[in-house]
Amino acid sequence: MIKSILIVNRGEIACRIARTARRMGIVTFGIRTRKEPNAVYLSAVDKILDFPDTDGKVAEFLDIENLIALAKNNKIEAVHPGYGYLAENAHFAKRCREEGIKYIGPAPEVIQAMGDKIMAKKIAAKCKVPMLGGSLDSVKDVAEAAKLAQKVGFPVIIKAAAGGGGRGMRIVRTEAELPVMFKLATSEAQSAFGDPSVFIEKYLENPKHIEFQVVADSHGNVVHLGERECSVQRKHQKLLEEAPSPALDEKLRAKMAKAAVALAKEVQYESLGTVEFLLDKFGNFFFMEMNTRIQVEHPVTEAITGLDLVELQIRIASGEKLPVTQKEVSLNGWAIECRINAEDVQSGFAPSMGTIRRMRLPQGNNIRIDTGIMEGSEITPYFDSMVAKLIVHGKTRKEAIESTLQALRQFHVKGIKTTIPFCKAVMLNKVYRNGSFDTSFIETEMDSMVHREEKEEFIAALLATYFYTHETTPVVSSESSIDPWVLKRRIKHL
Amino acid sequence: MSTGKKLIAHSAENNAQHEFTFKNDYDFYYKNQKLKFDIIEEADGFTLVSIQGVKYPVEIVSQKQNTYEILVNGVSYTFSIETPFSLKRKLMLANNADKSGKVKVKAPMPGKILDILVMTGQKVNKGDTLLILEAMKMQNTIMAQNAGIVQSISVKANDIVAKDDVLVEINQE
Repeated sequence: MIKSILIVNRGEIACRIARTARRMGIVTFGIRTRKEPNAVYLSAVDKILDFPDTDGKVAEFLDIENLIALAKNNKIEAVHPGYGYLAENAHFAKRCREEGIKYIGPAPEVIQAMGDKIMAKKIAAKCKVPMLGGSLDSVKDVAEAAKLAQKVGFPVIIKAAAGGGGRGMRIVRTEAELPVMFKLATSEAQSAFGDPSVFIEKYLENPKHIEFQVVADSHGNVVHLGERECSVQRKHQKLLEEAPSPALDEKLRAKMAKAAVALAKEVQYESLGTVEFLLDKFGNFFFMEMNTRIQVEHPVTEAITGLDLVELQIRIASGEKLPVTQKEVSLNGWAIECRINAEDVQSGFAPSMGTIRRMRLPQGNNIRIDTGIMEGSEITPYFDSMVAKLIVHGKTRKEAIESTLQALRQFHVKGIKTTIPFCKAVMLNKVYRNGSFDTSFIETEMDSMVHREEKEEFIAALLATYFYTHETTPVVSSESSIDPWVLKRRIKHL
Repeated sequence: MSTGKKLIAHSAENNAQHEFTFKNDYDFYYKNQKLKFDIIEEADGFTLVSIQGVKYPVEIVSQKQNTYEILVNGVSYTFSIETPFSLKRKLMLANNADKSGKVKVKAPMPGKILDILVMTGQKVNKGDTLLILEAMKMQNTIMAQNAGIVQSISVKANDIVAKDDVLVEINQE
């Protein structure tokens, strides 16, 4: 068994990995950066290592050589990449192997093959996983893109070959849009992934996004842990997930799981992975991509299977056999995950920056909260906007929805705006509740992006009037600066 | 029944008007009913408004002169507090401004300008891409909300902009 792990990540996932590793008796190391020297994840680990001073051109958690040096200098046996950053970087996995550090994840060759979306499509085609039409190679210029788009028919989607996580994708509906979108997609691919190559695929209108969790050990055992429904998305960013999916029956689940397992076997997968599919209204499914890391939304699978996915990753990396067989995996009840992001939903989900002044978290046996922040934490533009994940488990989907709503009503954050009112609105939405939603849900089915409780507007009007008449202004959010007029008035009243 | 001073909370979102009358700082009347409410500062730092047995967590986000942005249950509401006279004047001014025809395109979020796709004097249609703004690692296209002529561009590529900074001014046709 692995004895020490360097967590090359931050935030809630660093806390999440440390929690399991420490329970297993593994020494955990965290990395302190200058951008957030007092971060919460540092108190979740056993030992803290300072990231060395660099010119700052490469973000700390992307700085492969310095991270490897940290692991080597401190004689740490393994690294866990979490998600994002180096989690799907084949070069990093390869460098770890060269230096004799265990990488908790699949082999670099597999990361490479699946990370290259074009290569992944070729492999999926080989094991007969259904797929959408388009290019099987990268597209060089607009002219070639136009030709391909004509062949499969508009709309098409341009994707970064090195992409993933919903970035580097552009939907093109008409030929006129193609030049601008092609330019955007390639420049975004270059800046985000360091590789401008893109490919074209037929764009499926309003599908469901269904992904299967697979897990494979080094002894050839491959098991799937059911699916997750991730159709509540905005600009390809998932906002709310659940497991299982209301769209799948046993027959379809078995069919999709079979495809996912076949793909994992084909590439001799080892570790935890996710096979993403698009599902149309008629029950046809198409391979989209395979993620070779732990996912943000993994807790919903943990809730319904009772398995600890980080533990599985660590055990597999240690060379152990899977502790469960396919027959022993049972899916119990329903779980929903809400991503609580620091975003101003009413201003088009713009990032909301500031300091978390106060936090009230819901509690209960069926509630889990994964977070990497606490009161006093600052939300800065350096990192993504996720503040916390709320995971609620119920016996049935209906029960899970009601419990989630209840938990959201007890979840309060002061100092920044969050997606809590948005998540409430989703829970109360008819189409969400009946399960027929797809990826167009947010644009087409939500009349209001936030749920307003009764009388809220009146309370706000009353409060504004109250503070106006009292001329005291306990402005608490750091979003605003002190207006000189207010300051003058305050001084007058001293 | 109160005969005190009148104040109107005027919503910036939907123009709703809530009229309050009050005799002194503590007696609020709404639709001829005296309001009973408490503003409670909780030990853990949250502020609650308690009214008719229900408690609402509230937060003042900002105050600019007579305009308040308030969060109730995390949902944002913006109200300006007006006297009957100032409200009348405000509505009149707003009505006039609508006819002037100049539209300011503002940054919807803080970020970096990656590319500007229009030039001063250029004619644009509604929905045309004006510029590309990168925020939180996402590229966002800023589009023209109306047809017109680009009057001025106040930013250049690689500029860092704050939320609500004016990016482009378009002269409406």
